[in-house]
Amino acid sequence: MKWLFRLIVPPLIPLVVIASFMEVAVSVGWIEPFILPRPTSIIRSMGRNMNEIAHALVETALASVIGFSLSTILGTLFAILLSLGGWVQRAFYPYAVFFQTVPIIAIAPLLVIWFGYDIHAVIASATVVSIFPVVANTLTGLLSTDPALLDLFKLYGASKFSTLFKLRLPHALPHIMTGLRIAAGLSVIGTIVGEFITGGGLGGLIDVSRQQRQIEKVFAVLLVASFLGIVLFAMINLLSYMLLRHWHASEKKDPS
Amino acid sequence: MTEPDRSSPVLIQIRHLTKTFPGGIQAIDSLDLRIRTGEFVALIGPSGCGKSTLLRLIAGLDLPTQGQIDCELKNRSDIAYVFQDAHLLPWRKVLGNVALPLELLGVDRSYRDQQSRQILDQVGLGQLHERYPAQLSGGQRMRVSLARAMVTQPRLLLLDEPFAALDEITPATTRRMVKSDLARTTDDGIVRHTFDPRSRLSGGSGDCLFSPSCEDSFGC
Ligand SMILES: Nc1ncnc2c1ncn2[C@@H]1O[C@H](COP(=O)(O)OP(=O)(O)OP(=O)(O)O)[C@@H](O)[C@H]1O
Ligand SMILES: [Mg+2]
Repeated sequence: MKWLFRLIVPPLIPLVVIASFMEVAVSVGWIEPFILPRPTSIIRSMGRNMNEIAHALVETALASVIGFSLSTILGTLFAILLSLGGWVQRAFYPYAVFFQTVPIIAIAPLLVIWFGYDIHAVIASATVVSIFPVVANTLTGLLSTDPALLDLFKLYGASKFSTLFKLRLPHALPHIMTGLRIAAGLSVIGTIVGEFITGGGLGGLIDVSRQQRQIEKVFAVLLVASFLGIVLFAMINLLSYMLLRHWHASEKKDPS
Repeated sequence: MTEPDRSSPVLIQIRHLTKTFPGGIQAIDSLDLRIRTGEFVALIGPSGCGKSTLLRLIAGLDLPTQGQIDCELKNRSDIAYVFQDAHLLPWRKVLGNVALPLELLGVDRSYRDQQSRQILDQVGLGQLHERYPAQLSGGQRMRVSLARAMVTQPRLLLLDEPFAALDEITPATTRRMVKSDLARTTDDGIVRHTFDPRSRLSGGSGDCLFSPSCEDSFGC
């Protein structure tokens, strides 16, 4: 109970301070309400549009989770391929970098042409945006295996396959978790961007509300979207803690 | 341990062994060495004179530039290597770490667990099967790594300064354990490489290979 308190109260302090400041600033008239709505009206708008937002949230959460899972699986496989080194790495790494540098806003319309005006394009957008950190971090992990342990595996005639599964991948796990943490947030961003174009989910709702100048609704949906990102991030943190707590320095302490 | 019999079979015969690393560093320069069954050989020489390199070549982890190493040991389970530091798999418990060599060699589970428990008892870690390496002291970790080397019942044990990391008391007991184990399976050869004079005094009955000035077969 005490750790829950310690976990929840500190982040609430800045929120309360900033929200009170906004409330005062708008009601006194320092800031126009169509630029920055009052926190209380954001909350009220959230209540009014509860149903609509909840439906959009489910859609966005689904696309984010699927996109994130694809990034995890494809990114890890791609990193294993790259870790073979030599010409394979030289041939394919530039394309991994491409995923990081490509402006998603620019290719999202293309994704819609390829995958159609539905959740498929949104998932593709989430995957494209979030795959690079998985590839890069997993690759770093796979390539930083202790050379002495590689010697040990070689000494006992371990196959490439068992070296990968019993040594390289477990060693890379902390790095993979770092990649997943970054990818979790990015997959929500990728989903929202995709939805700006296809019109579904929270992204579509933000776009429509903006056009209707319902600024407090835009903020309400934004809050829900970032909440989704935080939940995904927290789930990865929990997974990381469960997998690594016994052996990796990053997770030795309890989560508080 | 008894003085090895001069007529006991040759385990390893090294002729004109040379190892040159890329960049022209000559780590070993035409070395000749014969190791017999039951022998205890210590390699002594200043840092960087090629001791670790020789052990790696004997273990088959690296290839010589010139010369040859004839080794009677054809099975992978016959050679074990202990590194300067423990180098355990941190995500495995002690038992899983000790069983690793048998697992890689394809030994079935029930036998390898039984064998690993037995070895762990011998190095005095019988109670710690279920611990993770992070929950052990440095000396205990080193003993786990020694147990891992012994678990295949190797006939040649290559020790690369494994006692350097231990404190004053632990090495003496560890040493006794290595030796008592050898007494039972006497046809093991040990190549032990160390620059610690104390280890030489207490362990070296057999050949010592000196290269204090780097002027003989070890090139610096
Ligand atoms: N992979 C490598 N590439 C290039 N040079 C190397 C490599 N490994 C070792 N060397 C060089 O070969 C020489 C012998 O190295 P080695 O590790 O065998 O020394 P050592 O006798 O074990 O020393 P120490 O007592 O410090 O462990 C050194 O000069 C070292 O710098
Ligand atoms: Mg060395």
